[in-house]
This record gives sequence, structure tokens and C-alpha cells, in this order.
Amino acid sequence: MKSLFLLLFLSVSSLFSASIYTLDNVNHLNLYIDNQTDFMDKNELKKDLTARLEKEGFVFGETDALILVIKIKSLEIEESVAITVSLGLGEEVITKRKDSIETFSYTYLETKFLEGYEPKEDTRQALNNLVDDFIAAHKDDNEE
Amino acid sequence: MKTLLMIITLFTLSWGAHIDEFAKEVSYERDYKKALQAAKDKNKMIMLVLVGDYCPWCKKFERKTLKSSEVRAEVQKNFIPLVLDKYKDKNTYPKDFYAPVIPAVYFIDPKSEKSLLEAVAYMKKAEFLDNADDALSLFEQGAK
Repeated sequence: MKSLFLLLFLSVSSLFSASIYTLDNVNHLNLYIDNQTDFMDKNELKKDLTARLEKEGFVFGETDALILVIKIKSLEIEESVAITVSLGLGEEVITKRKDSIETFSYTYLETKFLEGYEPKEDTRQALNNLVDDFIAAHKDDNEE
Repeated sequence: MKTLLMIITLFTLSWGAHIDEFAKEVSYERDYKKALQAAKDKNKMIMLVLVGDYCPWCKKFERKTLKSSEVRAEVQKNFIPLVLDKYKDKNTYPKDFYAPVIPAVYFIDPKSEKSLLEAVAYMKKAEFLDNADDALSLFEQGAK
């Protein structure tokens, strides 16, 4: 019974780190932040995210790197704020359409919706979770 | 009406294409009866992989696990591999293998046409190879 639980736990935890996307060989990034709120500081976010991702081995500043897009939007509803935070990986891809059409596409995209009473702190937390998921999925795809 | 039928036909053809391309690339059978006969002739298990054209986890399982060189070698050595679309190939394989979740892999004894081991959901190479080893052990035990 114990081994069954262990097996179940291992299967479930491996599924949690994996994502439907394939992040093999994603190493070079350019960070693009679309901040449509007045409570988040774009420069501060950029500095923190770059430092965090560099620590994980990602390289910034290369030409033609993939674009890591962070999008933050908010809408005030009475005393709280509805917030959406997205983390996406954008790149030029060749599709399987007729004539192998090339287009810009998101090859990774996760979004969190939240109702924030402390918008800055809640947005930070959501963004941290999105970055954690992205790093975990990247590790999962790139480990042997 | 003609145009509509043409569009539907084209769509249907394009749906079939990916699974056929995959089967060709990794040398999997696409017909249950043919696979069954080959399995009986060679005294090997059928390894039935059930997928769906709408299923991103299936595509990732094909791409990252089944196409890898270690898995391909192991599969070709020990099994008669067969890939079917859960819905589009529905009336061509036994109902016992109508999996509730895909991707699903059934390791089938060709004499009894019963599954000795089932593995569902996305699996990484190591996990898949463990399942294949377990299935082989069960098959060999049954043969004794």
C-alpha cells in the first residue's frame, strides 16, 4: 500500500512539473514586460526577474533570443482589484499549415487570475508562482 | 454544399496525417488486426498507444518519449508497436482498450488479447521504459 502511495505521489509530482509545452533548448531570453497597472514598477520587475532567471542559467541580451513576455492587467472593482498576470514565451515558428507559414507564436503560456486586496503583493506572488512553474517545466524538459 | 464537403474531407485528411506520419517515422503499425497477426507470428506483445489529434499531452509523449532513440530501440526489439486514434480508429480495435484517459499504452498478450499492463498519461523516457520492462516480465512469466 505504501509503495502504491509513493508511486502515485511520484507520478502526480512529475506531472505537476511537466507542462504540455516543450521547452527543450530554451536558453536565451529577452524580457518584455507589458505592465498595464499603476501599482507595479516595470523596472523593478525587470531587474528582479532577470536576476532570478539568470540564477537558473538563462542568458539575456543575445540577438534573436526568444521573448519572455510578462503581461499584467488590472481592473478596479469596488474595494478590490481584479488582476490577470501572464507569462508567455514568444518566438517565430514554422507552422504545419500549407506553405509552412511562419508566424510569431506563444510556445508557452500560463495565466493567473486573482482578486487582490493588496494588489502589489498579490501580483508579485502570482508572478513568482508563474516563474516557478516555468523554471520547473524547463528543468523537466531539459533533464535527461 | 460541395465546398463544405470538400473542406470537411480536407480537415479529416489532415487529422489523419499526423498520426500516419508519426507511425511511419517510428515504424509503428496502424492496423490492430495486422499488429495482432505479427505479434502472434513473432511471439511478442502488442504495444498499443492510444492518442488523439486534439491532445497536446499525446503529442508531447510522441515527441519526447516515443521518438527518443532509447525508447525506439527498446520498443522495436520487444514489441509489435501500434498507434491508434482513440476516436477516429474506434471501430477497428477491441472495446477493452477504449481508454478513459489518453495518452494510454496497453501491453497486450496476443494469445488472450488481454492487457497485461496499462500505463496512462504522459510519461518521460525512464518511466515509460520501466513500464515496458514490467510488461515484459509479466509476459515472460505467463509464458512459463
